[in-house]
Amino acid sequence: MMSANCPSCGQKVVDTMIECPSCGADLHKDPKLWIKKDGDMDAKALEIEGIHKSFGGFHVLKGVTLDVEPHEIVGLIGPNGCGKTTTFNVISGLIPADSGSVKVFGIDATNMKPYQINRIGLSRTFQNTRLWKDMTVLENLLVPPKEQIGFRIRDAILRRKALKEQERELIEKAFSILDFLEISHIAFNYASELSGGQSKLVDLGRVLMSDPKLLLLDEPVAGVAGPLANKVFNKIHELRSRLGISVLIIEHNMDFILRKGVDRVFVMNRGEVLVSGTPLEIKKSRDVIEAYLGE
Amino acid sequence: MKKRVSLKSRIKALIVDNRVAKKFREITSPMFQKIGNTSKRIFGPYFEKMKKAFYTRFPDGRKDPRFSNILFWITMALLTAILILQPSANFESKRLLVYSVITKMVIFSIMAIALNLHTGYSGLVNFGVIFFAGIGAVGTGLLISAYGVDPLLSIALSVLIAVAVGYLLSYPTIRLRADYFAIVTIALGEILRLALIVDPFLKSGTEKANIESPGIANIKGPFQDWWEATGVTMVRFKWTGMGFKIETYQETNYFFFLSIFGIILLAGVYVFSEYLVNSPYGRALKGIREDEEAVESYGVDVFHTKAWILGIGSGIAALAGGLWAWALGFIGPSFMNPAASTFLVWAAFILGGKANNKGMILGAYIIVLSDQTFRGLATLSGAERQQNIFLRVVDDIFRFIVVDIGGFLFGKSSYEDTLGPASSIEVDVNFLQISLVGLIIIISMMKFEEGILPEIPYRPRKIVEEITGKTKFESAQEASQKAFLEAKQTEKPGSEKEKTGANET
Repeated sequence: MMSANCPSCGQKVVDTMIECPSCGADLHKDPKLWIKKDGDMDAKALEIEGIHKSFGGFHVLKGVTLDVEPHEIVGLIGPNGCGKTTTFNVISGLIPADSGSVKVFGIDATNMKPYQINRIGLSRTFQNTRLWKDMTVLENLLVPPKEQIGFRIRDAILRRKALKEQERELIEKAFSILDFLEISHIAFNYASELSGGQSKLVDLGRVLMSDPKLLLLDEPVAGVAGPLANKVFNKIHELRSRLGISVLIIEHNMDFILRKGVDRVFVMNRGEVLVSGTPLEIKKSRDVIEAYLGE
Repeated sequence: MKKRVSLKSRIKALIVDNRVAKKFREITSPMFQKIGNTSKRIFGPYFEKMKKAFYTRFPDGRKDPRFSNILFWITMALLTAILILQPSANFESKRLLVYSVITKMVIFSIMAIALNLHTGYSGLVNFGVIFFAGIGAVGTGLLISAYGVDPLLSIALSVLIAVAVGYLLSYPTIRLRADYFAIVTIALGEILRLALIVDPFLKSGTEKANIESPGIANIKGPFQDWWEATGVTMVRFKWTGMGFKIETYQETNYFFFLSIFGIILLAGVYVFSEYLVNSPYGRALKGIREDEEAVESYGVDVFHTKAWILGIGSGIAALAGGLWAWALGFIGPSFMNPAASTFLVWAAFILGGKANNKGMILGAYIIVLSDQTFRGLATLSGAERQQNIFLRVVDDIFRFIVVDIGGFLFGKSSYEDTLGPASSIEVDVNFLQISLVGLIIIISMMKFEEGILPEIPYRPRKIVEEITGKTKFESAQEASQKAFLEAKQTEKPGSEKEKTGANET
């Protein structure tokens, strides 16, 4: 749970509040009133420039350039094999780029390792929800939180009491997130027992446990039933307004991207960013239609 | 000869002339069915009730921590009873047997816990536990016998050396996949074994440092001279035929000291590794086991986490190795023979249940006890061997295969040239033991692949109930079901509306 000051009256508010208790400002809808987190939020959330990547002779990314403003939900679309997931892997540090630069909240993250980038505030999900399958859902959620006491062996052995208290706080936090995603009833199930949609939600919960400032979601609703997919998208919007995070989404479902209130869309084709703009502009763009349907 | 023929004819009757079997089945199967049905009718409800009571009490079955605990202690008590009831010539030899088995159990338990930290929790498949234990054993042995260092100090030093070796090993191997890492560890174990055979430095303690007698001799454990000189006074209840008589005797057997010391060490290692795996660090380890890349992109420094667990695991294995050096008093290459060490540790690991430290102790106990039993059988010969029912049956089967089948197919010389005349053919119990351990592994993999005590999933019911409250927990479940139903209704709005409309009119 995060607390901040109400942008209009300065009263302390908590992120679960929809209205400010003292002045009644709607914290949920007006972008000017979204709670701002600490840290360098004036810089762009994500800025990548001229990323090139080739696997052997196969040139996958040919100078990808895109950016995400703070509090923005940005969509990344394109036909199969155009390099969207590779772009994600380069941003999150799993694959080193051949050239180009990645900046996360103004910090140069080009040559950082995945865990270092995660510690800046970038969290990502995977296309095929890579949950830790032989662990329970609750345990899955307790790995990502940052700055836990027992990550060091010395503390894990000696500071048992502090660990116990921390454990309790973390479980509390995990359950508030599970409640928010309405999946608290599967907290004790193994991650391998879940359905596709549920594991997508758990993946989302796992990301939220690490208090991200920037979310990279790789097809969050692929294979999820229609109503549940709607719910996931509404959740993403709610998260943005509640926590003030920025989101970059890969999605194949054009309906979601174009109608569910994505602020901006980047269209990729054959390793390049073809066009970018608001969903309305993208809809009318000829290039996009060509890329998707052929000439 | 008579017995052999009867066995053969019986098998022939079963296989070739299956009319006998058919008839037998015709008569017995309705009988068995009747018995089964009546017993189901009588005991079925009780059985169901018991089952229900069991699962209401322990909802996760064997994965429930409390039941796992109970099962552990019951099995340990059973095994200890079997150990005490092992046949032995007199009180002296029985004491020696019990102490040495417990010492060996402790050594193998510690090695299995080290293996569990590597393979069970972190997914680093390690076939070279004996390499790390070997570092401990050789280090301890050399420091004690060649340099005259205090035994306790020397074991501490060799554990530190093993931790450093394990940590540094992660640098070249960190990018290797699990199977390639396994090959590296096998190679390391073999390197140390061969070095023990040929390297003159590792023979420094021996008087005759030649190829025939390699190894480090004269390894003295802590307080060994003092203990063997004085010992402690023990009380024993002796059955005299009329009643129990209390006797005292002087216990100067060094294995008694080692077994007590070993149990204390094992308790320490157990608590340490339990603390380690039940912490955020342990969770990161499990995450590495399941999916390394995912863990790394959630902020876990995979390299250092892996490097430290490699170091700690090898330190624990080295502790076991040092204890082994104290117990044996002599370290030669034979103790690193994979069939007598790595194989048994892995058997304990699989049998006990991976990612469960209590299971490691249980598995090690079973393996060491069976090892001891077979050692007892191997010493039998002649008339004693004939009296043992187990060995007689095994010999009969072996003779049937070699003489009757092999002889029939390949001629008499096929067995007479190598094994001697038919009547003197016997099974070598040492090989029988290894093959039986393999059989145990196969059966346990097929029947219960998770071992006797499987990994306990993380389900902190108590804390969760305190936090959410049971009612809230249930209400969340209801809410989600409601949401699911609502979602279902919105899926087909047309048909739903039509139905309700029809009802209203």
